[in-house]
Amino acid sequence: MFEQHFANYLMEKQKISETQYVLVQEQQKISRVKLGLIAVAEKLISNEQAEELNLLQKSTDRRFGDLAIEKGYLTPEQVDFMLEKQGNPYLQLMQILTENNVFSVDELEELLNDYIVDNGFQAKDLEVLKNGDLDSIIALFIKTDNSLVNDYLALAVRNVIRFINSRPLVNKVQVVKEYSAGNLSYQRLTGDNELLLGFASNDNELLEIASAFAKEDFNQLDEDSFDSVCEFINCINGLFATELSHNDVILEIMPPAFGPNQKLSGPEGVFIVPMSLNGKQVDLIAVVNGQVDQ
Amino acid sequence: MARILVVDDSRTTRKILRKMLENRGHEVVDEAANGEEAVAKYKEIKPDLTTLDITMPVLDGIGALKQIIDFDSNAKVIMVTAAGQKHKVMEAMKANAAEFITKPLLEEEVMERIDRVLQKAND
Ligand SMILES: [Mg+2]
Repeated sequence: MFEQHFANYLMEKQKISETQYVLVQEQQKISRVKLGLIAVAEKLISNEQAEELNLLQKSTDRRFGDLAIEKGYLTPEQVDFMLEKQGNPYLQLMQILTENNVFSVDELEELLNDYIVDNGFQAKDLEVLKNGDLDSIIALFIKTDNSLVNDYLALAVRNVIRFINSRPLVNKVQVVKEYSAGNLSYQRLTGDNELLLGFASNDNELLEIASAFAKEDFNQLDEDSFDSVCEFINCINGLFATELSHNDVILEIMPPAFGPNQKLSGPEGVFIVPMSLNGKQVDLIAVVNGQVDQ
Repeated sequence: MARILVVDDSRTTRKILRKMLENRGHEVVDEAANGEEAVAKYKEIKPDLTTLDITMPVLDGIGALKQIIDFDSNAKVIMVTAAGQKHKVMEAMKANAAEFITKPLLEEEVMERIDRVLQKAND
């Protein structure tokens, strides 16, 4: 997640061109290998075991390595070895940029410091960005004064990565007083907390979510594709409400809704996580005690 | 092979479930998009098995489950829902749901639970 964000920063600052980044991504694809493949290639597990773990991974929101250890297929040392082989995407980006003489290592260090300052991160965040696990990195991007909203949005981002796009460009959370959506799908949670989760886009960019979730190629925002986005939100809300129910927080999930030209507001403002999915701009939105107007 | 009624307000999920069930040779005899429709269609069709979502407009799945069980105490109803909150699971089990599956759906899990319920019904 950090690697995409940093690369995007370099493009915005015109330090690298879009073409250069496309080439970098091509090179990353070649060097980025699935853990399951590495484990099979290294003869650490069988094909069947890898398939079983891939299936489990899809159903449990857990990492391949953790599941393999739990099943007794791999030792923690073997997983570390594989992770090293797979390479951290940020390090890969650095390696490709320096190997191709786009920047020297010193120049990159300097750009990284600029990035930290310009994006409101702290120096101590750098270690997490570079080497932290996904949850810790997401937490740095989703930092508001409301810890419930932080958990809510972080869960949503994790599920975007899990079901919609494994390499989204996610920006830091923003808070605005009011939000106008060209197109919006949303669903409310009511009870001990009044929450609303939604996805919005200016035009038909929501199709990116709709098609990925339903595994179907939609080409217009109609009832079918809006429904797919709504059901994705429903799944996220279900996971969130279920998780909170174990702490005796009672939430009811309301039927979702969708439509063009909607305005959102709330006493704490509207929390927005802008993201780019395959180049399509979509906003993830959360509101506490929110209001939706046409 | 069973005759199955699929109930969910999301057409996306109805489509996914239909595909999974038909892949295993079951027949999806009808679909319903809310609880009221579900109860009416259950009474009309008397399916072997019903998959029932909870979060739906008009009448939710828990309300529909109670009415279906009132009508047919042997009804095989599997909750298939994102609403996995503790109190929802307890309410559904108290109202005699045969199984409780939470979304996001995984084909293996769904089919295993459905087979289990059908197996029990045949024992
Ligand atoms: Mg529903």
